Amino acid sequence: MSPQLAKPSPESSSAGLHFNDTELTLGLPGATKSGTKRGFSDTVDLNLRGPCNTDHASNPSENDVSGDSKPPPAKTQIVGWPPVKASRKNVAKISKYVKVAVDGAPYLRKVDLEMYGSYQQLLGSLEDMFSCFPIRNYLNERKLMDPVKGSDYMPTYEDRDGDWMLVGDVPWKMFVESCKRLRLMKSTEAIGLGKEFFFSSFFFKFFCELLNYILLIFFFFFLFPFEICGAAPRASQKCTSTSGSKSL
Amino acid sequence: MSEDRNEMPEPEVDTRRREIAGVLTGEFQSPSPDQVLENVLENVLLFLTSRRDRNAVSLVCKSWYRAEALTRSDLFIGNCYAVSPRRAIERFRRVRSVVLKGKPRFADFNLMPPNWGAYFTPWVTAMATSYPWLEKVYLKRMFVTDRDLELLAQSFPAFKELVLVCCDGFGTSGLAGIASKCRQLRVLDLIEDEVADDEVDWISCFPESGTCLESLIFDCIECPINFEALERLVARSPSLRKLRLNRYVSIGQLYRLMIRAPQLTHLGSGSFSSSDIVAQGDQEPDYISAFAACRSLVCLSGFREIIPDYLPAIYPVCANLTSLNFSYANINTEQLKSVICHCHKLQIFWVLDSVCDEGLQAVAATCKELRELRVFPIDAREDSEGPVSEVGLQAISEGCRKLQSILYFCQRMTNAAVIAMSKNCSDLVVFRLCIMGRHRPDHITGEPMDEGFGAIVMNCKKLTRLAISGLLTDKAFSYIGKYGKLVRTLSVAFAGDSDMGLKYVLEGCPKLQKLEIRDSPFGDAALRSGLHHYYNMRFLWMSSCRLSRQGCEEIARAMPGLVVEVIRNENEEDKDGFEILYMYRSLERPRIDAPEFVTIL
Repeated sequence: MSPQLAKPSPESSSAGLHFNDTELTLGLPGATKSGTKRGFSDTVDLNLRGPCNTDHASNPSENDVSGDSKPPPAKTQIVGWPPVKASRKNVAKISKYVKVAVDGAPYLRKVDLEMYGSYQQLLGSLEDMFSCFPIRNYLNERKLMDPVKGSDYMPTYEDRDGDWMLVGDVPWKMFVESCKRLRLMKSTEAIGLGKEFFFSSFFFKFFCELLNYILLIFFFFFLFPFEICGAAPRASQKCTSTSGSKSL
Repeated sequence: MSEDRNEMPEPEVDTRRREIAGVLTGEFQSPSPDQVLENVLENVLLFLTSRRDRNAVSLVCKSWYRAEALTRSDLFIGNCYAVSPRRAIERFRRVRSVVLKGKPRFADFNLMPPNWGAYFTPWVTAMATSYPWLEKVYLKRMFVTDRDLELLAQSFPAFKELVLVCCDGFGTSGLAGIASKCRQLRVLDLIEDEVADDEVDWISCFPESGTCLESLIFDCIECPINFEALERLVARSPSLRKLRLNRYVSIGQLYRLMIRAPQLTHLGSGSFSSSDIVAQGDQEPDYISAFAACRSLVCLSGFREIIPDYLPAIYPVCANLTSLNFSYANINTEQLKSVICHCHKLQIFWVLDSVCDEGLQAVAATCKELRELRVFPIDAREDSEGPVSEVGLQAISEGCRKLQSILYFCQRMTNAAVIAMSKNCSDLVVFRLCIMGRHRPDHITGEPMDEGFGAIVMNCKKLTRLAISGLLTDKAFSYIGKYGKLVRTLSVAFAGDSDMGLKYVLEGCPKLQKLEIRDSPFGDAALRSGLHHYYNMRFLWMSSCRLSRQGCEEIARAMPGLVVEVIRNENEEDKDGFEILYMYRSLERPRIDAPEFVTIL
């Protein structure tokens, strides 16, 4: 019954990181060692390479500014340094639980935003949680210009300033940091956010054009009889010229 | 007579019985002067509790040695391998309380391979027959099995207190045995242990008809507990004063416990967040009034998964708090400020560096009575951000003049701030500074941190424990050797230039008892310079230094009273190479329970 001094964290296995290159050494720098050696436990310190690597990957602009052509090589993690117990190291694994409300549902739920790596994962999980409410996946709809369906929900969130924003505009990490709560809003209510505005403006334009046609037909039917009667030739000239210029 | 069960048949006792019998029957023989003196001494010594004083008493003469041995009821063994259970039991016959310490501290950081040793089994087996009236067991860094706990529960009918710190090897099934069989149990404290989840509901095992529990601490247990059973337990434990919950207890559940136990003095608040599913429109209970009702609360901890929105609930108790542990609470500066501004009486404060230097400035402004401060890193890596720095340390030194103990993790530091602390906080007994980047110098001047640590040992005349870090040359060690006359524990990592460093310390610090060194360039010559002192020390740990096997063998030959263990990496093919030297004084022959990768020279 040997106790485990360190439990493998799910982070390292899910990220699929290969530790062949991060050679751990217990000896002093310069001491020759054979092969890649690990400390007496293998995973507690190695886990911490995960977030570090992804940070390097997601900040290419930073590296460009600093002049490095590639991210700086990750410093080899030393076993047992800094001297912090394993139970305390888990605090760095921050969890960010936010409430999720769905219009029309009697219960709220809570999700840990730190569990997900991207919007897709979050929305997928929300869909599972609220399987009876189909969630409009804003991100995939650039091509689709469907009119708003009655039963769809738009994922929105309240940010630090108290404003309600559409999910998906800002980078994922920025979203996680600024999100205070989530709300799946009925699409009919979500006018004024993002593409909804575009749609409404499209219909607005459509109506404008329709009105123009109606007005045209109205004047045509009203003013033509005057032309046939021969009265107000100037008016009819004006009419034809204006109708000519009113080409769409 | 029940008296007979208390006392072992001993020659001294029999003599006394004969004397008393003689008095009763009229055949009184006047006892020898030595005997009288010993009797008187025993009665006097009953009042002597400090073990150091008792050790001194036992050295006076044989008679005093015997008297002291008979009257010692608190047995303290700082290294479980320094003495065997049999020898301890033979000398001290009437022990009520045992403190046992096992593995060295660096084992906490995965530097010691598992299965190294420090087994409780031989001790509990020996004590089971010899100390029937044992009441208290305190273990630190020992390997304790469920069977050991079972034996403990069965063998000691008067058992009252079990405190396990940084132990492992047992699970909830062992706890169930303790809970159900120790009817007199007052204290069950599990602090930073690794407890296996045997899926046993140990909380339900406490006696149904009321308990005498005064302290129940289980915040380290990483598995869910039966909350309804806990609620009932708290309700039938009127003496309960200390309760520290694990992170599987939500704030709603905490509320229910608090209203049942307003007499609590020490509270570990569990997760301090709500459970996943919250019904919309449900009223949250009035946490503020629950805290306000706990008028005796002086120590608050927990906050394992804190939702900062709930922090205002603790405002009512802040003014009375003497101890506050936020070391698992990921809170920012503003959130800390809102709490700390009320905590005028605070003496012990543990916190994460997420509160930044500004948070520490707020602490310095309010907590004038602060005695102990620990600042832990939220991101314990060498190259992480480092929200606290010399600014925070300087502020603390200026605001908290009564500081006695500090543990400070940071990424950058300056000599000036450390020197300021040495001058402002002259009462410092414990100074542990961990600059997480290895070999990092003063980030403003670029100089080594020698002057800072030198000032600490020079100015803090009461210093007994020191941990050093950052870029350090042999000069720092010369300061320690010259001024650190009271230093008992020294922790060194990635420091020093040559053997001289270790020599300064071994030759200069007469009170040195525990020395732990890693990754520093000290070799065999340095090791030899401590030969005059090793019998006075509890242990010496050196890992990844410049030692050779021959050097260690030399020491082992020169000092037969030392056990010299060389521990190699389990995967190491080279049987002669090793990573760790761990040596300690011992009255026994080398232990036989050492695993394969440990060689005792």
